[in-house]
Amino acid sequence: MDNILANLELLTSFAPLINVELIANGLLVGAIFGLIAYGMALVWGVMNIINVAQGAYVILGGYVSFYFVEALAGAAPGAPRIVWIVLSMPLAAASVALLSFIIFRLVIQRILDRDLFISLLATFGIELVLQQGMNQIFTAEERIVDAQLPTFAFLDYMVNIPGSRVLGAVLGIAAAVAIVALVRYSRFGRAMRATAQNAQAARIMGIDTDRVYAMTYALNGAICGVAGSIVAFVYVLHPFQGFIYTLRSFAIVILAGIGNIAGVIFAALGLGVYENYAGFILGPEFQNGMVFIIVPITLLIRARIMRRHRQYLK
Amino acid sequence: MLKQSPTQWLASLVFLGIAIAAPFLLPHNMAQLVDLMVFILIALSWDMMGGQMGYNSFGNILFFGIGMYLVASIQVMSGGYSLAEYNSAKGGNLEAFVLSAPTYVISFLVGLLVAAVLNFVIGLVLGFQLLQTRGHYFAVGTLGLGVAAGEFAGTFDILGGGSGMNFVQPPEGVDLTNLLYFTGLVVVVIFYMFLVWLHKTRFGLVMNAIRDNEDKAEAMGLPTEKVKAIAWAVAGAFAAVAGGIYGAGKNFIDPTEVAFSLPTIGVWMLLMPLIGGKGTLWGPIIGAVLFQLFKEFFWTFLFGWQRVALGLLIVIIVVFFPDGVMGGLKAIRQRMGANARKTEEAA
Repeated sequence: MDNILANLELLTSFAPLINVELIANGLLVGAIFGLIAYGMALVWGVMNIINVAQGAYVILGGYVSFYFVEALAGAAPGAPRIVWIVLSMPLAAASVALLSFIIFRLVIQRILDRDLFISLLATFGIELVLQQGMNQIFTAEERIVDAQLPTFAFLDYMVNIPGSRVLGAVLGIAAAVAIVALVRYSRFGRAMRATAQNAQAARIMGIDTDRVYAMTYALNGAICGVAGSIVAFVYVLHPFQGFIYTLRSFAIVILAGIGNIAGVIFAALGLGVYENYAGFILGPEFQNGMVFIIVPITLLIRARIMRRHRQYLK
Repeated sequence: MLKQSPTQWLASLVFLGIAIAAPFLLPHNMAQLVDLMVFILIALSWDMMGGQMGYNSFGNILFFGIGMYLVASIQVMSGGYSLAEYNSAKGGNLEAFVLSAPTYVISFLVGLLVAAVLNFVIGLVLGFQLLQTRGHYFAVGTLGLGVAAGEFAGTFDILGGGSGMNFVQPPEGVDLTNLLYFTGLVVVVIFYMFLVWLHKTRFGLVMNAIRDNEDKAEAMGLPTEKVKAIAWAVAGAFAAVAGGIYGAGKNFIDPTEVAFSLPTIGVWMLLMPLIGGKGTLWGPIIGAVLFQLFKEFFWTFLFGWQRVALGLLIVIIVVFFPDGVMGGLKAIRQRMGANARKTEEAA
């Protein structure tokens, strides 16, 4: 309790500049969380499936990127790391997209019209298989892609922002813009939105909804792959780290509400800042718990609000 | 389905006989048998909510973990030791903390009782709040709650912090595995009888009505909110007892790996009723037995890859056999019935 008060005092009176650092870092990581959550919101909105395996896809994309960068950096030590990192992103996206397409054909396709309990449990099973499989193949050692970027210090070293986070946020935002543009302006995106609105009507209008579902799930895989290659150099890779990203995405999507893209962005940035503050004020051991508890609390608040209109979350 | 015919009573008695004889037939597999009793208990308690009432909780691990910590703490305190001292001695001289045999047994049983009562209250309080959400929102919300509980449990230094807490070593003269097994068996029998009785009552009917159509049940004037919260509280109480027994068997509590372990027990407790048949009285029991066999088989023969196999098992069962053993039996019986009718008509 004392150190919590001390931390608060630090923030409010002794070193208010720490606030700047916390907010800046929070916003930068929030951009990555937003990307992952956007993929989850797509799958949730279009095919009404909550993809618990989201985090495992992210980590898998990270491993693809890690091994690619390791191999090429070993082969050509002169070139800057950033080049290899950027080049690894399409590869990570393509490999995770392919895997999630296969998983769609094998599993997801068969549970599309089942109740949600089934889809939650099935994707949970996929998460476990991938997680434990990665643990066997890549070992439980923590892996980091070293981006070899400096840490930027501002205002007399009071505000420190790692260059890798800036790069991660820039790449994450670029990917998010590309995907939002794809969903909004392309023919495929229009088919996807039509399917989300009313699958039956979309079928009548000649849209191959099965294909749309498969492509949406693969697109989500690609998003996770890109996010994973960013996570690889911003954070660390560990087979069991994936589930945290799944839960963060839950929190973001539930905060934003389904089908609300602007909401996802704001919720993600907000979650990043909130997480940094919680970790700083309460201590780093509280950081994950404070993220997870957001999920039931948000649901409770939303259920309360809806109750006034005699409605409920379902 | 839930009314007990004479054959079902006979089956129950045969099962009980096997359960009582098992420790004498398999004295080298006591740890697995204790686990099995715990699994039956949590499968039954989960199915009461998920199967009978249609509220699929992913977070009943919350009660399981709280029960485990409660029983361990009460045992420590029953010897007059302070929890903080006990947990700060971890890794060193835990042998200094001893209980006499009667104290150990009594404090264990009292601990289970306290865990049940406290978790009933927790379930009631949470239930009135969280059960306002339905469907996948309820599932995701409880999932968040269960995982968060593990993270927070690791922040209490008085409970040993992130590195967990030991149970008090059983003193000489206490046969721990037999104590756990038979305690578990007694609780299972009590819970089973309770469920048989419950499903004959109006309360049980309301639970099924909520599963079938909650809006209609509410429109009929049934007290759905009260029933939902009480049902979750009862399920929580029994899950807590299961947690206490499991923890004492493992002798060590890790906040995220043992007590609030969503990827293992947290999912297994959903999977077992699904294997056996959701929403049936015998489904969770059969499911737990089958699951324990699968699990031991994987752990023995698939060195390192057992958890992958378990994940695959989840996917396969969920995708291809969502009705479980009881659902399969029912389908076979119906087909036989149809065939019999056909032959009658032909004759």
